[in-house]
Amino acid sequence: MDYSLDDFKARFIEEAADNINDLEKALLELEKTPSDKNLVEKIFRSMHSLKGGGGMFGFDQLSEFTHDLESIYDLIRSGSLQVSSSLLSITLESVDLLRDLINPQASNEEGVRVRFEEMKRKAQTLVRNETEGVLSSIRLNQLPQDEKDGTEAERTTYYVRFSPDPEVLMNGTNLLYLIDELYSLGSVMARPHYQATPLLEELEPAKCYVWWELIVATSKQVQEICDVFIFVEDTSEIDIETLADLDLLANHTFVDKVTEMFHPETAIDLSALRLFIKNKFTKQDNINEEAQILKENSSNVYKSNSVTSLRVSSEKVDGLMNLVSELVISQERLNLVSRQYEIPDLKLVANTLEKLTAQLRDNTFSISMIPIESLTMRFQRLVRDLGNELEKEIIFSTEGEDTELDKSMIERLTDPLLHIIRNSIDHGIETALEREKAGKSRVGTIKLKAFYSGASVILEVTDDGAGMDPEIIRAKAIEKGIIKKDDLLSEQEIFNLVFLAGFSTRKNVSKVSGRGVGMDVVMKNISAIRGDVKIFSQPGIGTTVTINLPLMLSIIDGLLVWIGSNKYVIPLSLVDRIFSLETDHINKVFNRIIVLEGVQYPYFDLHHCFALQEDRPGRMQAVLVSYNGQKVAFSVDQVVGKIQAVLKPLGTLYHDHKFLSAATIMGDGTIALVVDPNAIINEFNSANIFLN
Amino acid sequence: MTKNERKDTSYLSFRLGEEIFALTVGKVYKILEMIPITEVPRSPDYMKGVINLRGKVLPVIDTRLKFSMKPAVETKSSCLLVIDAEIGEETVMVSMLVDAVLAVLRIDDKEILPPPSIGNQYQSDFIAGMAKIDEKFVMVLNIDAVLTSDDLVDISEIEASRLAAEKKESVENK
Repeated sequence: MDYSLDDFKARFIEEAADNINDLEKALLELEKTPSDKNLVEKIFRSMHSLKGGGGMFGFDQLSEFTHDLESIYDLIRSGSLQVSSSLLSITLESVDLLRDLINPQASNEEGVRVRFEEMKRKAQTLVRNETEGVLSSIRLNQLPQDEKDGTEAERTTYYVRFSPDPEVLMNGTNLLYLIDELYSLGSVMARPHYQATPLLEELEPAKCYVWWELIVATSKQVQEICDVFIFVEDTSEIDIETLADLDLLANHTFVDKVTEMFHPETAIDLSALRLFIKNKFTKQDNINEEAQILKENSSNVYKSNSVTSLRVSSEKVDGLMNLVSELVISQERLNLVSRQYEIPDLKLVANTLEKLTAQLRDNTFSISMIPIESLTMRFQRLVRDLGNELEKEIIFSTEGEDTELDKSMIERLTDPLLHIIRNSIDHGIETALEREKAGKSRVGTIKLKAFYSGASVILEVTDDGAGMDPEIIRAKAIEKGIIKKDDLLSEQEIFNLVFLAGFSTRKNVSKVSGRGVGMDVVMKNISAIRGDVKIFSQPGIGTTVTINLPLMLSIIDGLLVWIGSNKYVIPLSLVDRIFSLETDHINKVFNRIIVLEGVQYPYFDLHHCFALQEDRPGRMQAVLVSYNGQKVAFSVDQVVGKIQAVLKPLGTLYHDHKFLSAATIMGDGTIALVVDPNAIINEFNSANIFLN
Repeated sequence: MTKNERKDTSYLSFRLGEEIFALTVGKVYKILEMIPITEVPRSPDYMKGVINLRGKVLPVIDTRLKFSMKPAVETKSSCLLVIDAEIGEETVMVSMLVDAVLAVLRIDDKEILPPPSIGNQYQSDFIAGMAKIDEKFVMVLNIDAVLTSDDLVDISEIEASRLAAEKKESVENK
């Protein structure tokens, strides 16, 4: 394998980006609960990793800067400094800078450099102002301690078992430095195990075959031992246990005993060692004390060996998804064959395999699903910063953050959601004064709620702001010539006008939003991932924007139909009902309205829409499809049934095709085309059947 | 001579009506017998539809229509040329319906004559050059340009310029 420094660097950047995200999240949480020690710990660790990695890979600015930040949080961690809002503000600002610093292009830009210098100054001033007093007092307190350092009574002896991941050297970690670092904490007895090292011809030089058992006697906290392993703790097995509250290494009998107990292949029998210590070094055999030690031990066990998540390149995941898609297609073919031959055994196998395939499909797709939490964090930030800038008091709350969506969908959702929330902050929420006058609480709320609904995910952004008046939108639309004066529109249709290009009701163009570009882009971006947006608002009460998204991008449940000489797939999530369509019905179609079982529906003849030459069969069927809360009827020659459709792109040459979103391969190898009903309706809606 | 250059001297020739064209073998992924083609409604006439090639959905171009010829009746020799085309920034697999695939020719670079002047500039972009094979001129296609453009290739102009080149050649020989 060939690893260049650039690969490491790329990996570091990726990890650093994660670290920065974690950092930001923890900071925002800390703002709500300033006393949470775990959060401070998290922040400190993220910074520490950034600092170390940054130095290792030549991001000197990054490591220099995080060093300053880290020293501030170290003081908070040790309890000698309180979390203040100005501190958090500066740290959050720094997070943005950190993002630029890990970007090799941006970090060389002049602007970033200026910001770097400025932020660095700010951080240092902060350290000086807020910490000077504290620091000096700490130094005073520490001095006598340092003097005492080395006396037996103050030391605690720990047992450390450190089995690094075989791949640990790939990250550029030098394990000996870690061991050296332990030596700096106090006295250490290190026993390496290298029995697992293979013969020279089988040895992979880049792999680590060694693990260690260490006895550490130190006056430092156990946390400091943990910190030594901070870069490797995710992948390595690290076990730290307290042996005794005294310096055992100063005692010869103990050292001899350990040497005696040491076995090159297995770990030291800890319980035997404990027993030895207890007999030798504790005079009073008190059960209570033993329980105390046990309890202490269990709380000190710093285990991080269970790997709860894996970092896998998205390429690998995509490859897996492709294979599963192929499998689903083969499965459909197998089903077809087994139905053809009616062999009981074959049927049984086909059925079992079908279940397994479905499970495998769901599992595989769940790999690329990530919770929308990763999105909401950014919005927390936006609401906080923009709210401050516009001098509005806003609380941003989320619900259903663990709702998962396809990774690629999350990426493409960021901009539209950002825009919607920005609109809420800018246009929706009023200033505190206005709110008081209107009899509302001073603080506005914006809520992002996510939940599953059938095969879709629904995202709702609700604000309790000023809302929109349908009459004003209507007037604006008439003024812009989008609708005619005597057009009758339902409330929903009026709100839908907001999504048209060039529509903005805001009188003044503000810095934040109001240029009338935006909502149409929101609509477009969401349509591109086969989603759907709706808006509802009540003047004085607030606005709700609802986004409806399909759960999966690449496999859908579809309704297979014949139209002319081709098979087509209509996404099942949109299908409401199926009617039998008599010639009589079609003859009565007037102004594209069909009457089915006494109800009028807008009607689209797909033969006509697709400009097909073939004759229509005598008897057809109508598929009722949901569109913006309405039902629309499509004529098809014949409904075949429900299928699982693996979506295959039609490719660049059909890129401009409006009505078809993809193709899918059937069990028998033929192709069915996937229809996009919304696009057909939009295209043929020139007659404005919905607007009249 | 590097491997790449050697490859570039091989060309695959195919027939459309009476006209013979060649394209560099490196572009050809596969030659397929006729298989059922799924028509895609509301697309340009020369976009014949899509086929399933081992689970991939490929567009089929009716090359005769793209070259402004009459649509052909399918014969036994009709086949689909699957090629890797560069369209914009992307490499796209596309299949072309042709009347017949003829042969793999070895044409040295120096045997390729500059493209004949054809009425329209954009039309001459479609032709990379000409080569004389068995006393007849074969047009070497710039297939990427053909597929990237929405315009049709004007076969009559190409034919006229070929005839002119052949005439000039025979006059020179006399």
